Amino acid sequence: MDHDFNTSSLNIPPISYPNFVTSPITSPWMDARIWSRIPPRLLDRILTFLPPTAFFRARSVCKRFYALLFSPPFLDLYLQIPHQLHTWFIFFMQNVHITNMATNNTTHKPTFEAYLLNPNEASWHRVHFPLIPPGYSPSASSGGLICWVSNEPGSKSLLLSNPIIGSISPLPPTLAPRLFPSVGLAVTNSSVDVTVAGDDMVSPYAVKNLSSESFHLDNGGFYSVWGTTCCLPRLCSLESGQMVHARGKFYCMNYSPFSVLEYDVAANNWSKIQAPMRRFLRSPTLTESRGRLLLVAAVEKSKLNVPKSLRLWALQECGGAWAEVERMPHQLYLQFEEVEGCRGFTCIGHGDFVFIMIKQQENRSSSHGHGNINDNKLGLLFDFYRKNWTWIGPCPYIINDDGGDRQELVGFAYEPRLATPTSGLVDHLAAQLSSV
Amino acid sequence: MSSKKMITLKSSDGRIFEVEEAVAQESQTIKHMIEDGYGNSVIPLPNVTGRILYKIIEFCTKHVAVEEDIKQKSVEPTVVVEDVKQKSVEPTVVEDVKQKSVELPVDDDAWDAEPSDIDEWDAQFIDVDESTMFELIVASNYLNIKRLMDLSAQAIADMMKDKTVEEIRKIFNIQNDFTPEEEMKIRNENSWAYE
Repeated sequence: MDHDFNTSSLNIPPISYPNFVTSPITSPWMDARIWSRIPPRLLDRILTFLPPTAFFRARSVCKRFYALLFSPPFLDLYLQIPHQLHTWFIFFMQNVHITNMATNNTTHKPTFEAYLLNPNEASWHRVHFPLIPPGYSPSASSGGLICWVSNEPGSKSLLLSNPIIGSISPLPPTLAPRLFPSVGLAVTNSSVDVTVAGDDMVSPYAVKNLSSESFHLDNGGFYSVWGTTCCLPRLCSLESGQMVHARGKFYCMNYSPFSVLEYDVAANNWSKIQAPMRRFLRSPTLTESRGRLLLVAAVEKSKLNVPKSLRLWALQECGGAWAEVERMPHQLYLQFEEVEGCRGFTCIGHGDFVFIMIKQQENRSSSHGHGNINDNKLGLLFDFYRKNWTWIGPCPYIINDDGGDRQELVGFAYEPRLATPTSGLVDHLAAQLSSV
Repeated sequence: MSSKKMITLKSSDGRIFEVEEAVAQESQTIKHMIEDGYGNSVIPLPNVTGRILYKIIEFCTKHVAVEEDIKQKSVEPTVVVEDVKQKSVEPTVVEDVKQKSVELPVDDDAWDAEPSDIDEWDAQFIDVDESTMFELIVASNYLNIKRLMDLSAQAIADMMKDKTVEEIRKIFNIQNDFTPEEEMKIRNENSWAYE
């Protein structure tokens, strides 16, 4: 696989670096007399265990290391190893949908930029997507791939891309024309499932008809190209966005009143689940952690004298029942409320982490002048395992100068992966279908 | 307790170890030798020293016990160590590793739980000096014990992860075969990893 090395197309400012950079004091000493004797194949195995940033830096060591990313034996080794999940987050600045309808796609920047957050170190990284065409928005993430959906109403085109390798695999377009659908993506080493749900623009009377269509592909040779369709339960109101995947099902929020919609992929069946404390929720979001569906929301029960809080519920195995699994400490919630200032928040979960991100509004310039320290916070990161809450500051790569477009930061769980075999499956399918 | 078949292993420095067959079979290499009919005599392991073989047996014993869902208060490596030169045989249990009760990772309701005890045990096991770690990964590769290979590879990767490119070259004695222009291009290409 050839990479285009033309750096001018990447729009990256030239980097100057010293010839030798000292590493932090905490990096342990490694004796060259011992390690220089290690056989190359064992060294390769060690490299598969490097965290993604370290692996990509190591590619500069020598030509052999550089080429490993394209080497099938190395990638096979990488895929076999049960990996410590790198539970990161990825963020995009996105034009708010309402303006999408009014404006042309020419307002989009030519190259998409994304921001990676490593919750283990609270460190930010910036990645470019040079190959994504204009007119697409990121809508879901799974197994190291990001799913991009075309913005234009109508039959939707989807692209799967691996941001750190730079690959793109187009999916066949959806059969039904749609307007701002919700998208669910579930990727494993051997299969891809995509479900697109929303208004299918079928009725000529501008009455919403909510339905879903699904795509499946696996390395057993079985595939279904949007042939699996289903109607959503009556009286649903979806907001476009990502559907969360847990245990073979996709979930999304339903509004007025709040409930959760569940789509069983294997059974091709939608059902509705009541949300806990549904009349008292504010900013409910669905997310997933360790295979469990979580609902995260602020609870405000002013009439009943219950203190305000931010709670996390997990959907129980038997389905339908929720158990409260965590609550933000009260003092912290008061601080959070003050920083949030009723802007609303959204939650993204990945592995042991749940990130509660305050919605950033476009009129940042008005609050910018206050110099209030509270404006410097993007959100709170909760670590389930260590049971601690950490404030996360704003992304250092985002500059507050976009006066014109209304933009907001959207985030997804993201697992940086060197190899995503299902994108090869998708490419193969596309080739097969186009030759028909 | 039913008597289990014992396998006899001999390290490069002549030390003899007797281990249960299930423990020995954690090594795919030894397992194949047993399947090929060599299980009834002493299996020589000329690439593994006694010191390292002892540690490997400790690892395999522990993991077999965990898999068999045995709750133990203490884990003793079932090893009979003999110095071939001695005439009298002194069976000694060399180390008595006391452990909390072993719990298998439970699927659903352990959702809120901390990492299982076996992970902690593994972390303590691999907390060794560089030289031992090197020997463990080489020996576990030769003996084909995937779990131990992965554990040691992960530990070495953790040691390496914050090293600079130049340090990695020095540690593994690797020649830089890039021209300065090529190296600059690659750093730019992967600039996100440097930030």
